[in-house]
Amino acid sequence: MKANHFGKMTLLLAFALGTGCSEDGGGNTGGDAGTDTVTGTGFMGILVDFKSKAAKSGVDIEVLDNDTGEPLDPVKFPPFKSGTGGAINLDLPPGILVGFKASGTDDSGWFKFKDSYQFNVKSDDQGKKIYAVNELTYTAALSTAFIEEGDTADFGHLAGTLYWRNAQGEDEFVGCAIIEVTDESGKVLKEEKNDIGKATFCGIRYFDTTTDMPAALETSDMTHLNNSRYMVADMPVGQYTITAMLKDDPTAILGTVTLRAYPGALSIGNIYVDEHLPDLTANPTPAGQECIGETEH
Amino acid sequence: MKSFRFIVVLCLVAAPVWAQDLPEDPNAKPVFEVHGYIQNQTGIFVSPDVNKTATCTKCEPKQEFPASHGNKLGKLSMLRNTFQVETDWRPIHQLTLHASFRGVLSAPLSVDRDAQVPVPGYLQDPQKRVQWVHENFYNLADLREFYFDIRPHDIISFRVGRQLVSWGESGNYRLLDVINPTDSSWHFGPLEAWEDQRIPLWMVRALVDIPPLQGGLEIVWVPMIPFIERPKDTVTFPLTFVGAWGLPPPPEQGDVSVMPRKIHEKHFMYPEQHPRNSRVGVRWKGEIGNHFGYTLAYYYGHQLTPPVPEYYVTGGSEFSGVDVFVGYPRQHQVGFAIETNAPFPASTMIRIEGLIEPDRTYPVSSLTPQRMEPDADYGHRFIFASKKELTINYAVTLQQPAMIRALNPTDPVIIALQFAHTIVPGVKDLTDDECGNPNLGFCLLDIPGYDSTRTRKHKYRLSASIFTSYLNGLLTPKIVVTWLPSHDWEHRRWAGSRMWLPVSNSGFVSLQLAISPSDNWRINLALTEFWGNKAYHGLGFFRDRDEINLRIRYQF
Repeated sequence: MKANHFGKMTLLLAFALGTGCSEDGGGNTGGDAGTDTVTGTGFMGILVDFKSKAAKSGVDIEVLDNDTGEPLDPVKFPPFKSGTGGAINLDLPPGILVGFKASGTDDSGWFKFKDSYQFNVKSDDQGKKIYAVNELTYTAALSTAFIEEGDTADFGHLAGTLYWRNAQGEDEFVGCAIIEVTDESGKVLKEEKNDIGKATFCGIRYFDTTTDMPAALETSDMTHLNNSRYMVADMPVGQYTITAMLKDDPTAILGTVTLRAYPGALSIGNIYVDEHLPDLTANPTPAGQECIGETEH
Repeated sequence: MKSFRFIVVLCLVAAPVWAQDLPEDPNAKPVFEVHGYIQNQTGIFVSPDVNKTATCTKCEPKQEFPASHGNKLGKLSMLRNTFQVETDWRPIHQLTLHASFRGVLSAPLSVDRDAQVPVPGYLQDPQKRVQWVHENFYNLADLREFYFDIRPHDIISFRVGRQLVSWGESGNYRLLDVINPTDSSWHFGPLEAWEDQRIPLWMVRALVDIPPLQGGLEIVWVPMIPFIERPKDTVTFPLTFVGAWGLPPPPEQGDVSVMPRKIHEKHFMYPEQHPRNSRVGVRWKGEIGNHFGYTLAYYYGHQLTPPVPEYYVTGGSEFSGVDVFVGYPRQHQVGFAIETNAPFPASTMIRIEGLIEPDRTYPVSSLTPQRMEPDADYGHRFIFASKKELTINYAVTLQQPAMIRALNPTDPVIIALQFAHTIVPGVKDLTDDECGNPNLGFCLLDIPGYDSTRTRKHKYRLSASIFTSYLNGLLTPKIVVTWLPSHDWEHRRWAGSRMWLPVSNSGFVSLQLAISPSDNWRINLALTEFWGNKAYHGLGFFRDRDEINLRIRYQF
């Protein structure tokens, strides 16, 4: 098994360098999911193509520091490839948040992925999906969202999902919410458009429940109970805070996430309402058909 | 609904039947004949199958997809009234005019709520879908055939006009019958006569008899005439358009983002009515001795399978979802047929038909990567990687009349058996998981949009029918059985022991009773049972269409 062999090589290398890699199989591996993999309190994830939700093996992955966006201990956790069935298995320190960067092509060489960052991932999550956005989906998303792509050397995109984790531990979407983006100075950013109406800066978009793709504001101008993903397109490289609130009551803040825009890349960071409002006992989606979001086209 | 102008033409011309079988007698008197029928056909679904859904665990959040289809018990499968009239007029012995008109009035069917309407605005309204199918498929006023035959010489004849051409049928399925597209929107194809399902085309057909070679040459040219012929009438439409006898909404695909509700509109790139799209074929039909007939045929036309998806675009601010563009690829077809009567056991008719398609185009699995190209209107188009593959089909049919006195002491019992085999040599039999890696080979599909119909290297079909007549033809019972053997076998426990068992068997059995109380009346009662282990595989697609069907025809 090539992936596990790679993991063992990594382990040996780490040992030889005296980096303190633990004897019980630290480091990282993209081994077969469920077999011959590092289990226990570590992180177990699956690298999936965002559109098809199919697991992809052989995709380049880096573990990142959630706060700085820089590689997390690159000696202990060097870059690796997703294993068979998209498996990502890591002995990460428990109780912290980390980020992942997925890029390159899969094993087949046919699927090319944009640099896809995902932050705020719990280091001891089990079965966590790490998304990679392939180039076709990326291009299609810019079209469906009516976005003019900026210079990829200077601009990136942010995305995420607004979740409510219910009593059973399942993640539910949250409807009738909107988001607001602020830069590091705390300034609220507003969308800028070109002459045909395409967003050229800070294009806030919500996903269409039918297509699971970002849609023009005419189609979807808020999140829905059937899909509460969002996207902020064409953001200059830098750090931003995304704040979610109820559309009809902007004072009702549902949560925030801080995300970094990378050049020509997509950065994903989810917002968990239950973490921001721990006393809330139910999904805060207001009643009303418009919050559910089955659209006719 | 066919063009109104055909009806007008019919009213103006009032002419019609026998075609190239012109009388040899040059002194034959002018003939004018009219015949036709009025028919009611009513069916009720009797399958207890119900709709089922399954949770997509890969999706986020979890989504429900169809897992089986049904909910048709007791509902109308058809209520179709047909009036068809055919006229033949032979003013002189070298010339015959023929026309046939068909009018159909059908009731809307509630089961058409499953139709996958290709235009926007129907997603949320089942009743609207029922109405759409009713308006587009179930009512018809069609000048079907309209042609003249002319015989300038004893060995040469021409047929010019809108017509049907059949180069061969093998039992319930078509092999050499490659020229006319079909319309089987109203019933399961193998249960109806192909003659009734073929869509006529405007064409020129020439026949040259060559007696020294004991054969004749037939040339067919379909010029694709603009203005007279609608492009959509020159191809076979997809069975997703109708619900009663169409394909059910698909289950979860390998790529979970692929689903009908995501499609805003399907654009059908019908072959343009232009000479460059014309179709041409040639057939030699001959005999060797008195008992051995053979046919060699070649045809260059458009693929008459369901249309093949070519690319999709996204709509930006104009619409949500994707627009899919589907086409009808060109293809070559080469066929042969051999027919003879074997002396053993007695008058056994043997027919072997073969069709080679060197460049048949197949759609691909949803997991196959697409590629991107610039598009002037939409920015980009996303190209599906459809693939051309050599396809070889053949069928062996045996028909044996037998006196089985225990069944019928006076009339023979006719038994027909057919074995059909399709080979696609370039296809690898991959697993579902392997379909996402094109380095292992492309996963081709028999039906676009349904990953479950993955094309296999070998596909088999076995059919049998048996019928006989009683009381001088008053009663003719018939049994028709078709079995599509499973491609996949699983080693599992059954009846207390482990054995290899088929995973996806499917087929149908139809019990029919034809009653002919007089020369004018024909009644046919049929009970048809479909089966299939898998709901979206082979004839499993129709396993909820068990039906009782009564057809009453008055012919004149």
